Amino acid sequence: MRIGLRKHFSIIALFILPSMLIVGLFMIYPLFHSIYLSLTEYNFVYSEKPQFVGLGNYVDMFSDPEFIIATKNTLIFAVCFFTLLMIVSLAIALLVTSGLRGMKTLRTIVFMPVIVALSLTGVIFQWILNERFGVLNHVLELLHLDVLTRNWLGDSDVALFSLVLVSVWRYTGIVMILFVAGLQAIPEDLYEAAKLDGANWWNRFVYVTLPNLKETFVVTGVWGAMNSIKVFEQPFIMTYGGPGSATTTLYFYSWRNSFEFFEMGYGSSVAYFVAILVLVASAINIFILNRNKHLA
Amino acid sequence: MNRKFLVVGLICMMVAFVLAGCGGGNSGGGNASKQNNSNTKNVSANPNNDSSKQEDIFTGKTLVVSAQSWIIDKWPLQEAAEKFMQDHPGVKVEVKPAPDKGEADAYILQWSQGTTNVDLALGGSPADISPYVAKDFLVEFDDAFFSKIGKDKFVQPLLQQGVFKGKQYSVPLLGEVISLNVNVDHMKEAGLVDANGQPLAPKDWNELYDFAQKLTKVENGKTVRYGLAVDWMTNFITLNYYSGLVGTNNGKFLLDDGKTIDFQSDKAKELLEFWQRIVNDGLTPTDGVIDVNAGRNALKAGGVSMLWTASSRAQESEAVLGEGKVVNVPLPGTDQYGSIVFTHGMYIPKYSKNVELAKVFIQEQLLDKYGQQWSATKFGKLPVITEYYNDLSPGIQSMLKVMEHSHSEPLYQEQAKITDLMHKQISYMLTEGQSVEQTMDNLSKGFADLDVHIVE
Repeated sequence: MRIGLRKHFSIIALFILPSMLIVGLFMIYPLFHSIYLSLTEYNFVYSEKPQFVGLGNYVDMFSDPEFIIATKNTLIFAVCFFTLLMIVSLAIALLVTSGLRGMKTLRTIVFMPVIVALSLTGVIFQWILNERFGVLNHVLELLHLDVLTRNWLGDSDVALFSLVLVSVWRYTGIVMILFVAGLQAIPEDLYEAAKLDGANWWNRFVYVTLPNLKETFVVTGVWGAMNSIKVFEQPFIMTYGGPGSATTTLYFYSWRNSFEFFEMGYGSSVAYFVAILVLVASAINIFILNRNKHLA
Repeated sequence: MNRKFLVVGLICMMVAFVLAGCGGGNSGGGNASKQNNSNTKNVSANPNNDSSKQEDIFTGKTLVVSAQSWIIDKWPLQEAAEKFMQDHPGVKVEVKPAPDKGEADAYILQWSQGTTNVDLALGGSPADISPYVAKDFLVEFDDAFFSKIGKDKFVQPLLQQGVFKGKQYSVPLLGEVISLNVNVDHMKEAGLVDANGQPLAPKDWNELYDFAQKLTKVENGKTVRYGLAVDWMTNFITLNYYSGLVGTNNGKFLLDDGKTIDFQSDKAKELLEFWQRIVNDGLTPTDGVIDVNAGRNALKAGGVSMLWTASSRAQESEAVLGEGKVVNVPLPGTDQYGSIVFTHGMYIPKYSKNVELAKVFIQEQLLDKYGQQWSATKFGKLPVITEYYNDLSPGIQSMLKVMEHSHSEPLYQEQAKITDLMHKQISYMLTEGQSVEQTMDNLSKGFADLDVHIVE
């Protein structure tokens, strides 16, 4: 029996060994090495070797004006992007599952931006949002809405929100598909029963649809939280963090410190701060949604 | 049991395939090349094409040349590679694109591991190359290299840009000068030409402001053409700032210590005030603050009449607007005190297994008259050998005179942070109404806080 068990576990080990090697080499080692780097002062080009400074980088972060701005920008982006994404995606998902004509086409059109690389999206929208040559301002002028034309990427008051809108355009398709799956899993009987009880559309939405989408909200919420905090391509491609620091986000700031200024230690500490933010946001999301699960 | 072994065996095979697929690339040349793909242009020479060419000591080697993407477009690298292979049967030359400046550093991480997958790298200003020198990654170009093309044949300010710590670690591929690129038709329309129909050069900021004002067109309350655009993005912010000072401040843009950028003098204030004024008065767009291509695109589209940036934009715009339609005009004072020059260099990693082959390729192809003149004529990239200017247009020849008494940017270890500081503070000044005085103070203080070091 014991020999059989040992053999059983050896076969299991054999199966998981390759993936463990890959995970260890490409995920666990870099993870621990970057934690170590975040506790050092280390310029990759000009320092002989990392100099241990303990939590010095983490302390310095909170007196770094650029870090504070990047944190503020990231939180503003996260709240706006997450909220808009959830509302727009759910609204489109409800439309797609309504049974109206043309909804399959709508679903395809909404999903198409997902397959466009984010960097390419950034390049395209740089042109669309250009103040002088851009399509958006041109269309607004044709519609006699000149008052709405803006320097979408060059005005520090609107640049960050321009990135939010581009991101919503890009990611709505994925979240919509998740909501569609969730909506299709809700039994029709519940809606019929609610109708029989005299519930109107809004009541059915609030008391039937939303509660039954809880699991979907967990998945989309965690995904949305991650992608609303880990923002890099949009500021990198479209504005390079400008004008000024108006669109500098934490992830972008971490990259600049690590690979432009070669400050690997400080860049790592910023990256871990981002990771902590993502964990906290995800945990809050899961906690809120699972709060009353025991009552179900 | 047999089925279990079969399953285990299949899984092991799959893992082996995955690991083989993830296997590392080449280190140095000498490997037989892989499949052709869109990123690696590999043109093999048929050794039977010219049987009179003898095989030489490089036979069987593969030279991997990495160039920033724009260089592949603006320099006849493929032609150079093919010609080299014809001249050296049995040698292969692969041209690979590398990320442009500001995207990512293509080499430092691999070279820090003691390995390289390129033999020759093209592209990078002295500031970009200095980290490689600091880490001792590069091969020196010694006197033996210059025995074929003497050092005295080079445009000296350009050659000097490859000297670090007294040694030549890079050789310039092409040169650039900061100047005004002006639309000749617009200047004629505004009456800003001389008796020969040549655009006038502004003598000072007031005159340049006047030019910009005359050239700006407003229709129905909307600006349809700006008089002047300035490249304020990170790739040109420091160079354009220096060029604004050097012409108006007796050839100086540093303080007497030779290290500190002048952010506090009256001339510095005049420059910043000029920049703020042209934006506030609607003569200059601000998209150049966030878009590296805003200025050149606007110049080519006729949306701007003058562009303050590298002189090569003139020839580049001629491809769209027509020959002679865009010319270079000196910034105030730079005809007397010189402007700012910069180069894109050629450098060889010391981990390359084909150092001598790379040097021969540079000597025979990259410093050859054909390629140097081709790039100058089509894209305004200035040749690095003086005598190559003889056959070129008067406009390009005039750039040689400017270059010969121009200045190079200092090499700071903290260049990236200095660029970031200047870009941010000038952005705040231009787009958020920060005062000139506050900008000057922030620049001075920020620069002092960096405690900069010069790469000797």
